[in-house]
Amino acid sequence: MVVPRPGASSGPSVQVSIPPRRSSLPWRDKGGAHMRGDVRRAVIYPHRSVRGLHVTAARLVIAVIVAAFLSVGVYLARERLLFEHNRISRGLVELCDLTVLGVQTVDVFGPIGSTPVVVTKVFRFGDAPVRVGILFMASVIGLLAIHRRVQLARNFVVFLLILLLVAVGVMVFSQSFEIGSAEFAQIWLRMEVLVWLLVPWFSAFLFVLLEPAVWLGILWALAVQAYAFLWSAFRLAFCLAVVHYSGLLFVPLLWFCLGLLADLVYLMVFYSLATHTAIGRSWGKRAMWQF
Amino acid sequence: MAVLILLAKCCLGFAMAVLTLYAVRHYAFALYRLMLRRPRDTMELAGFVLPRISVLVPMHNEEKVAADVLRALVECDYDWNRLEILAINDRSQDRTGQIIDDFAAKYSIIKPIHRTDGAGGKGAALVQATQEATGEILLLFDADYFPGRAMLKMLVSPFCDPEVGAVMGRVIPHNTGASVLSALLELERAAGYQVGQQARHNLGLTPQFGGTVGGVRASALRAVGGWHVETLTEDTDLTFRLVVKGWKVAYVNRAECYEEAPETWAVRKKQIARWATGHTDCLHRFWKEVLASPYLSPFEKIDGLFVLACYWTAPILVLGWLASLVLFFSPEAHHVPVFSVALALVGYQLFGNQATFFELGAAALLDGNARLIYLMPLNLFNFFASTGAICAALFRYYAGRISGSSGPRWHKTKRYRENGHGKLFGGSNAAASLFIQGANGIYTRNMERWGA
Repeated sequence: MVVPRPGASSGPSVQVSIPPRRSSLPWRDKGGAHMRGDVRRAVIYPHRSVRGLHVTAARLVIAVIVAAFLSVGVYLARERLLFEHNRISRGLVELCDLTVLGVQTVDVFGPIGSTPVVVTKVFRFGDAPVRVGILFMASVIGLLAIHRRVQLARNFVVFLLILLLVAVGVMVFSQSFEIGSAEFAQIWLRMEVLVWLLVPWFSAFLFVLLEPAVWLGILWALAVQAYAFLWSAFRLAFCLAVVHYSGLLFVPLLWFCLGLLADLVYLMVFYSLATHTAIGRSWGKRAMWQF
Repeated sequence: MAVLILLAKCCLGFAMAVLTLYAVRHYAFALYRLMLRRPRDTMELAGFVLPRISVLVPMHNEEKVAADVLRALVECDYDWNRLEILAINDRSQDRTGQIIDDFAAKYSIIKPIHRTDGAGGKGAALVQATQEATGEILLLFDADYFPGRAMLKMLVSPFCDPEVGAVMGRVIPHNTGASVLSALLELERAAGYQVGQQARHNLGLTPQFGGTVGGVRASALRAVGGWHVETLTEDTDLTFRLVVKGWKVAYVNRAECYEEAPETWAVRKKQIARWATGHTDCLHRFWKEVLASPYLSPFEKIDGLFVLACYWTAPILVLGWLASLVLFFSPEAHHVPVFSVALALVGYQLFGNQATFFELGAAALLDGNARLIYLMPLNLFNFFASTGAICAALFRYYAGRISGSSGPRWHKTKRYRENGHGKLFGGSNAAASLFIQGANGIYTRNMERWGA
């Protein structure tokens, strides 16, 4: 049932019939006078409120192709990628002078199969509970100091403190719960491989669609993919080092902050950089003005 | 233990489902706003539709800013024969009343209203002013806003459509350089207006009337029962009372008006707590009416519920985090990563409370705002701060509902402007050079000053 809206049957009715209009686009000024700056601009830019981006079907197709190409590439090269990932993280672990006990093969998930991961010695709570206590107190004091001085980070610090407290609770009251370096690396890779497969799709719609120069958009997507791979290996090595010295104490913190959150932060950083570079050019190239 | 794990899985699944829906909605808005053409803009009619209007400016202890907004309003290019400005002194204890009287003595279109008793708050002030207003259209400005010369015509133009009951303009913070927070809020506001509101307008959904830099048709206001003084967010309340009765809300992106954003976290937390409480209160009062309204399309109903429940995303996100923490330490740990990926993705996309990172970037791209976009990753901290403040506010709200207490009180947002005694638009005030008024009457930011 269609119910007439209240104003529809009463009040003044205004007939509006103005043909669609698009302003002259400055980059179509063949002489390029507006670019030289020696004469007045050929057009007055409309207000920013009536601006949009002109996205062609071809651009959409390119974005999908790039995303599919990178995702399929990650899948096809998964063994090589995981091997290199392990090689980098192992190299970094050895650089930190940690005791490497060997290499263990772990399952990642489903079609990805298995991969070798580095095995390091892991600190156990029962080995030195005093060390855990000292580390915990030092961390709490440090976080409280940040909480007091940096207003911007207050709730984030509270989030970290909760994770720390949960970890201590588990260490003290459920000492049977343990995570070895191989298990941690397995969980890590399950997450990161999924990220490597998903990131191209984000890149396609964040960079390839918005960047005025399509090749630059593709470059941004490739850069993010490469960064995701390398940064993952660095973070895994760092996490293994922390687990080596402090056991379970910082594991939730590492997982929830240095894991996916860190992945999303670098995606954010790349996106802000790409947007910054795109802003200047898109105003003159791919903008669409409407009234 | 098995029950706890099952419960955790259910909570995580629920959180993921809800947040994914919100994330998809925000993505759709951003892509639609960026890339698709918009419908006819009523701005083309600005200046051709000139009904009699009343501009309502409620003020409570606003001596720092009162003169600026009144001066800006009298400088507007609206026909004075069809304009009245109702400057409401709502029980101020500073010089606000005197400033209003000075302006009223000088300009015949300013009508002073001095409230000395009765209920306090913006809603109560608006009720009294509405009774005395003679205009067909009531425009609203908070005291800390800077309307440009053409603003009134812009805001009035959508009312040429007799179905439009309310209209909303765009709010832009002017004190971006004051702190990291105010800079982050500019990004968030830009995403909310340039992308969110405009996309909803374009898609035929309901842009939200914000209670300032906007207007309402007097007859529509009367038809839906006038202002509700007991609500914390009278703007959301009015928006939904209008739309469920069949009125439309329009958004005019070009009607840009500058405001003061919170510069400290304490002020910001109070502000967002008030929004969260008021919004959620509206959810409880309107969800049935939204679903039952014969005037709303299915998409409008769904989007209306999304808008009303938007502050629930914060506690739902926390619930999801807690569930994933439980699962992390359970024997089911190997299931966590896939869940966490989805949760983190959809959760983080929502950071900034009302705007996804994609919307922040889209708004910066459309505005050409390259200066602040580097700060976007820092919005992580804004996200955590907002999440905490919203959860605390909703906890207090529901605790109050259960215990039957009177509910939270309205907090006036702190003003930061110094020496605002009418010198902003023409005096030697330092703030004056922050804005340049163009030939079209629109105030825009003096980028040399803002860049510095």
